[in-house]
Amino acid sequence: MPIAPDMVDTVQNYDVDDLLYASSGGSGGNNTIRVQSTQEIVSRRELVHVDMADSYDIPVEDGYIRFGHYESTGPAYTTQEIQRVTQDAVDSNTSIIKRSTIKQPYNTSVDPQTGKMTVSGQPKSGMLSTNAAYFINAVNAAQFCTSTGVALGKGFDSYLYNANPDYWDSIGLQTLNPETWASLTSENESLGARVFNAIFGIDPDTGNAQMYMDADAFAYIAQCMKEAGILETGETVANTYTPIDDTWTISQVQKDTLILPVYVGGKTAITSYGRTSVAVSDYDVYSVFAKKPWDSTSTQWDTVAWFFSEHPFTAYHYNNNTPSQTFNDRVTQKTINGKTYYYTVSGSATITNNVYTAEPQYTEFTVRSPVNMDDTFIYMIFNTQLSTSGGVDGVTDQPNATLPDTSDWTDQQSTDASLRQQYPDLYNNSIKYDVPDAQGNIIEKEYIPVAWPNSVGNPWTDTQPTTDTSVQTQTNTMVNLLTGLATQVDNLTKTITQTANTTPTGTLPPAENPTDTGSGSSPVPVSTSGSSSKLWSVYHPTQVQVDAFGAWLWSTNFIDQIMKMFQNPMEGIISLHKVFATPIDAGTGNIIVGTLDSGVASATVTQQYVYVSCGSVDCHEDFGNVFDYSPHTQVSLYLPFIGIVPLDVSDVMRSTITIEYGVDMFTGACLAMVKVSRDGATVNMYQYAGSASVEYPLSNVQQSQLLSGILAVAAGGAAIATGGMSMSAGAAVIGGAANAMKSNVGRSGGFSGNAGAMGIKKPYLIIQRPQTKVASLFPRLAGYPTNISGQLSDFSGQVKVTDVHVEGIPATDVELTQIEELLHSGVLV
Amino acid sequence: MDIVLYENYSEKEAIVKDIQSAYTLTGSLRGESSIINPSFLIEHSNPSNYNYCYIAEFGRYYFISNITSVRTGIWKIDCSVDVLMSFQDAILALDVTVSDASIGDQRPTYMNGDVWQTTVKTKTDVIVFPSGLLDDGEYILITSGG
Repeated sequence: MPIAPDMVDTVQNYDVDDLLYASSGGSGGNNTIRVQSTQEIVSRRELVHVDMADSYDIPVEDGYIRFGHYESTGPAYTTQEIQRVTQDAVDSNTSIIKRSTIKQPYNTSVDPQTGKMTVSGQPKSGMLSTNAAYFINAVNAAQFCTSTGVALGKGFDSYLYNANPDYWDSIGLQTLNPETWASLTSENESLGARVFNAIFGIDPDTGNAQMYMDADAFAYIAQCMKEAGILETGETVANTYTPIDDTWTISQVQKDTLILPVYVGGKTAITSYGRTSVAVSDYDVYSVFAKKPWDSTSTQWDTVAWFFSEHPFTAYHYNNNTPSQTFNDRVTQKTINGKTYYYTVSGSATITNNVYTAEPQYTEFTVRSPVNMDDTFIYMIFNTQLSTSGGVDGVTDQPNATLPDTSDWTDQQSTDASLRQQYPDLYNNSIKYDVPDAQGNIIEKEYIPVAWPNSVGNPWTDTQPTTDTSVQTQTNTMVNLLTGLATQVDNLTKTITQTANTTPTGTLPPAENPTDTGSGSSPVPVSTSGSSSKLWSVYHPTQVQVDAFGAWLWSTNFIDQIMKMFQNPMEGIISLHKVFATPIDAGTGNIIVGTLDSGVASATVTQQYVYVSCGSVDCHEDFGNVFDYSPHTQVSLYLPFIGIVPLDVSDVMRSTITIEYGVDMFTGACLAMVKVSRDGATVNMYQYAGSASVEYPLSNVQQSQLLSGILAVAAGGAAIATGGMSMSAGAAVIGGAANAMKSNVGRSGGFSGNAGAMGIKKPYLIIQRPQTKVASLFPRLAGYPTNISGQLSDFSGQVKVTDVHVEGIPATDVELTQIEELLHSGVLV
Repeated sequence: MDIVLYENYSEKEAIVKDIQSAYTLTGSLRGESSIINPSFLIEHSNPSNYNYCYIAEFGRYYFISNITSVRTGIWKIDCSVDVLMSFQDAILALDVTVSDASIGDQRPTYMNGDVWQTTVKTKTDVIVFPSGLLDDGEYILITSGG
């Protein structure tokens, strides 16, 4: 069993998130190590071959493997040259973006004579398969924290980073136990942060890949999460309050914006005598009141009212209907969770049968508060109708996940022991290695399987990973590199389908509304593996190389030779175009036309399809009501090389929108896939085709064809108002739901190809929202639109009834009809 | 018959009225009167302050729709029944489906309605995606053979 060097040291100087793999075949010779980024493998679902039997030409010096990694604008390097890139070459050539140095992986051996490396060795347990290979990679703290959370049944969305973009820096990883933190991580100079070791296991036969985390790191991060409150589940509570003394009843909160008398249960409680009113201007003041039977006859009530607002206000307390004193000092200011609120409280009054028989004199305010008007109460009133306590915004619980019991997590040891007990599968599927510790003693370290979180852009640098577009869960942590995530989605879909088939349909009682959340995700498209063949060759030249090729093309020598083969020399050139995605180079070679070697070197391309992630954005509600939806709000999306397309606002509101482009290198065709993630499901909701390439005319015939195509697009795609009138169901015509009658205006025409190249290359979302003009008094005068049933006494204030059976009332027929008409037209309860 | 006159300060649509300044007197129905729209004569110096009454014998509350002076100290009061106040308990006990409410179980503000008024103006928010296609393209040359 090979003894691995210290895992932390292994990734020192490791400045790219490269995953080593070996491919057989391809240009540059067999058995060469090629470098790909982890993100590319995951997002493009490429096959990763690990041929354990082969050995590899890798220059190994002093126990280090050195290789370069260049971007597409760099010069052409053979694979061998890439591997032998020296530091001097990096310093002098800016096209070589990165040069990596990695210590020899633990499970490899190198022949000192030939320099050939052989991958060998297996973990002590938990292998994916007998052919699986395991490579070490570095992962940033945010990635590992997210993976830990997923293992503990949590999910993370972008709300987590709203208040703090560097959220994971704030949960105490460095400070909980600095010694442990230092032992689990290593400093990465290029990143400017400390990183963890992750092990990637890859099964070449199945394409399954699994990331493993140090079990010690898992326990440490879990303990930090507990301290930060991440593992708590927020409790949603209704916006009501139970008084300490249950002989008091508390009304629901009312909101009024004018001077008003105190209302008790909708009735005017204090009118001529001892009235408390609140003067406000342009902001809202809320009131809530309590009443208690004065005696057993319940004909007399004690009442007390509170007024509160996010803005300072003046409370006028009247005596005998005459303003005697402005009790402005009675308005108390409180600051809760960084927000400031103001409130005051009236004195108590007595009413009997709605008529005042005793009028308190407000010379002294004695607050006979039946409940504690404390911070929590005010905070609950102000924030949402449904407020939450505990938990962290942006952290959710996975459905049916096993959430941890953290009650006995006092230190890392107790946390580790508790995790092993609560999550035995993690440790049953772990892999173990013998590694030296800091003192050089050989110890066994354990690595548990965890999920890969979703990252925007480079996962190496992304510090805001989320899980809302991932199909990986607490129990589903493996990724398949052959089919990408398709296998995982298929498995998940089958599971959901099975569950759905066993659930009886049509059994909901008529009065019950099904859940408001949808489910199900669309399958992940599998990329086609087109490649060049002997019938044609595909090159990826630079501008210099194109110029050199052109010079050769029109040299006397070329024309003489090519004329022997083609009637028209240009028949040797199939196409020259620019694509707006980075091709995946297969190697380098001279440009060949027919059988003629131009002598001009160029990178070659065999991978026909390339996928480009444009990242994700969130589409939030702005109003939190009907205004966020059609017909009031309209959403459209600009897509490079396609144009501006309308989206159904109900599809995308409250969701995360992710865009991925598939580009055909050979033809320039592109497919923009718009994925919408909401309620735990991701759907490939919209797909648009276009052309992400610019064609270059190589002959006058081709130029004519190009121009015809461009003119046709321009003629057919002018931005015009289509005149379509949209009106949502239920939108009133009279009284002006005027915005419902907006015409649909096309904002762009056809936008592909040569024209598209002049456009913006980043997608953007356009959200058109209304400027509202809601009357401030409508809740009191008209009521909120609703559709709920109950006893009429359950409601208060203005109430308009749609359905009622006027029965059980000893009234005449005329009176019954009048009652029904009044209920339909609106009554004051 | 005893009639209690009131000053009503609530709107007509209020189920439970805020009635004050109760004044009980004895009156007699005038001629043929219905219990829905009764008229009766009362003796009072000046009942013009009153706009509401209760007739216990009929078990109903009434709006005073008109007051006519018959002669000095004698007034004719025309009334119309206030069905809401008269049958308030039974009405409040009715099961209903509500289309608009000031306060309900919760405030479902995602229901359409006439109250959601907007101006003709709009505002536009643009959210740019973090990344996109290349700003400058890459050449692809395809040749025969090779």
